[in-house]
Formats: sequence, structure tokens, C-alpha cells
Amino acid sequence: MTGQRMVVHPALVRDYERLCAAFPRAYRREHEVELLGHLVEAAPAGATRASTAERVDLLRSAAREWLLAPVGSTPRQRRDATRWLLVLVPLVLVPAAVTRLAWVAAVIANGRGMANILASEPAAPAWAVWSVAMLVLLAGGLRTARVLATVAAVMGWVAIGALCVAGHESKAFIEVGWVVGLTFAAVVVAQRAGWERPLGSPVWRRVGVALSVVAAGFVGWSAVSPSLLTTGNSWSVAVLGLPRLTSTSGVSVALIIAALAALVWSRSARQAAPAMVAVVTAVISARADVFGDRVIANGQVSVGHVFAVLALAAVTAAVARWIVNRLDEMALPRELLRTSTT
Amino acid sequence: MASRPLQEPAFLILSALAKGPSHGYGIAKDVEESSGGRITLRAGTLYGAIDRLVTAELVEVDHEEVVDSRLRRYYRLSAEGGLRLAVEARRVETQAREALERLAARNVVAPVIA
Repeated sequence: MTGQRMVVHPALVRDYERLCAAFPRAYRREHEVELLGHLVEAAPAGATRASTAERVDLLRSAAREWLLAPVGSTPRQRRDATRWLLVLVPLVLVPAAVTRLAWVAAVIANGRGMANILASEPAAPAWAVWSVAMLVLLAGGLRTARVLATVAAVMGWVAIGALCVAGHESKAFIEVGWVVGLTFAAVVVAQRAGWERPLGSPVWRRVGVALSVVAAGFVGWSAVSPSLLTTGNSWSVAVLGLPRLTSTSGVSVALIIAALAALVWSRSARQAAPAMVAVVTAVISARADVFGDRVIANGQVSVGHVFAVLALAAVTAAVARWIVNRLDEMALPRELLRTSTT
Repeated sequence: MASRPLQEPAFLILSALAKGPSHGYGIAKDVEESSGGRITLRAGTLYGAIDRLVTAELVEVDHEEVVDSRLRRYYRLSAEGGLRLAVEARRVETQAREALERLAARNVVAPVIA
């Protein structure tokens, strides 16, 4: 094919360019020229429009790339993001999972039934499935963990929907942030499972096993100390005697900002920042009265507030991804200079 | 640690690159030919699959060249990718041979695929 000229109709090229414009900007920067070259080379002689199969293929791929944009648009970004998120997302979700499962254990030990549990904590089954997914992941079962994590995320969204339909928008407002976290957990495990390589990192797996043992211990403790149900305190306050520390207190906010800044500072870890920003934003915005007028305290939460949390999380993730992409671009000349001088 | 079976498109892409570095269009043509026309990897799907293989460090970018004003990015099999392909090919070969031997024992002759 080298040196052989191909005559291509300009309308066909414009059609392909319009279809390629559907992909995220970072993906286009990496692949657009290559993609266009492939499409033009593969086009039948005399074609003036992209075929239906090509349109469907490109638009479906573009939709997939947009869904995965928070974890990066290039292989290096996704590899770094997946490695970090596989550790960070579970670290963030474990306290929420332990709290809820500990409550479930205490309720069951107190003789109350599943109906009571589901009425008060409809996302409890999702957390249970997610916990099993993480244990399976630690055991190396990537594909099974992918299925379980996806089921957990879907169950979480079903719970949010059920809460909204049942008129418990306040509860949905508070919980939707954690379900965003469950969704990212499913995406990251699916990404990692798609590598077609078994899990490595024996150090992180040992840490994960240790954390699982500690978490299981707290859940078990709650089952034998059902007085947690009556004190109104969380297990961290009642059992460990820790001071009450909400996610919106000054110390917590400072710690979260410091942690996110540390993430962005590292070239590999910063790829995980957009997803972490989305989860943190979704979890905190409902608790921090971001939408004003003390909507929870005044019982004024509507389904619109739930969607607003999701929109805020999406916007902050997009801004974080833009910042990370710009930092990567600024780092590229230094990296090229370093590799050319070695 | 036992490796998981590769999905067929990933196996065929790695197999295409086993001949030597190739660009996306060349890989797609090879996959279509080696699958007897059964698998057609269109551009969107193909580059998504290649990206996954690059993310998994089974494939690397070899070089880029401009041909007739069109960019061609050539990919090559990484050392890890070659090993993975070899392991997978052996596994498939062993399973296929066993199946054919069992069929032969039952006097079932597999047709020759042209």
C-alpha cells in the first residue's frame, strides 16, 4: 500500500470526522488521526457516507470512552488510574460498608427481620454483595469480582430509586454518594478484569486481607453488642471511644483536600484524582448543605436534589480530569527531554 | 499463578502481531482472514481492544509513519504479550488435539477447513 494513492470522496472524510468528534478530547488527541486513516483505508471504493455498521461501532465506542473518561482516555492514564483506584476506592468505601453491615448484624442479633432491615437500609444488600466482591477480588477472582461489583452497583441504584419512589428522598440524598462510589468500584474492577492478566501486588493483597479481618471483627462485635442500636452513636464512637468526626468538619475537609492534592502531585496517582473527586463530592455535598437552606434539616429534599448531587459529582470529575490532562501535557516536554538525554 | 484464557479478539490481535509490527488496519485485515471472515473488528472496537492490550502491557507502540498523508501507528507484541500468546496457543492446541483424538476414537472425522 505504501506509495499507492487512494481517491477518497471528501464527503466521506467529513462524515468520518463528524463521527470521530463524538469521542472525548483526550482520546481524540491520542487516536483521531490514526482512526481516520484506518477508516479511509478500509472504506469501499466510491463510498460517500459511513456505513450503518461503522456509525454504530464508532458511536458505541465513543459512548464507552465517555463513560470511562473519569479513569482516563489513554492506556497509560487508565493503567495508572486502575492501579490506584483498585486500592483507594475500597479504602473509602470500607468504612461505609462496615458501618452499615455492623448495623445489620446488630439488628439481626436483636431479633428484627429482613423487612425491618430493608425498610431502614435498602442499600444493605448492595453493601453485602460489594463486600463479597472485594473478598473475591483479594482471592484473585477478577471476573467473579467484576460480576459481583456490578451487581452491587446496580442494587445500590435500585435502592436509591426505591427510596425516591417511596418518598424517602432525604435518605436517597444522603446515600447516593456512596452508590456513586459503588459504581466506580464496579468500573475499576471491570477495567482491571479486562487486562487479561492475574492480579499481582501481594503486599496490597495482604493489607486487604488484614483490613477485611478487622472489618469482619467490627461487624461481629456489633452482632454481640446490639446496644449500639439504642445508643444512637456510630460504632466508632460507642466501641472505640473516638470523637465524633463528621465528613464536613473542618479537620475532615482539610484532610480530604490534602489527600486529593497529594494524589494530583504524583504523575501516576493523579490519574485516580477525577474518580476520587467525584466520589468525595457526591458523598460530602449532601452532608455539607451545599445546596443551601439546610434542605435536610427542613425536610425539603426532593428528587431534584438527588440529581443535583450526581450532576455536581460529574462536573467536579470533569474539571478534575481537565486539570489532570493539562498537568500531563505540561509534564510531557520534561519527560521527552529526560528520555532523549538518557 | 494460572493465566486466564484470552478472549478471542484479543488472541487474534496478538496472533496478528506475532508476524511482526503492524498498524490497526493491517491487524483488522489479518484478524478477518485468520478467522475466515467470522470476526470483523471495526475501527472503534479494534482501537478499544488495542488500548486494553496496551494498558495490560501485552502490546506496545512500535513506531509511526505517514503514508499518503495518513498516519499509521504500528504496534508490536511485548515480551509479556508474546509469552501470553504462546501459553494461550499451547492451551488451545492441547484442548483441540484432545477433542480430535476423542472424535477419531468414535470414528468422527473433522472436516478440513480450507
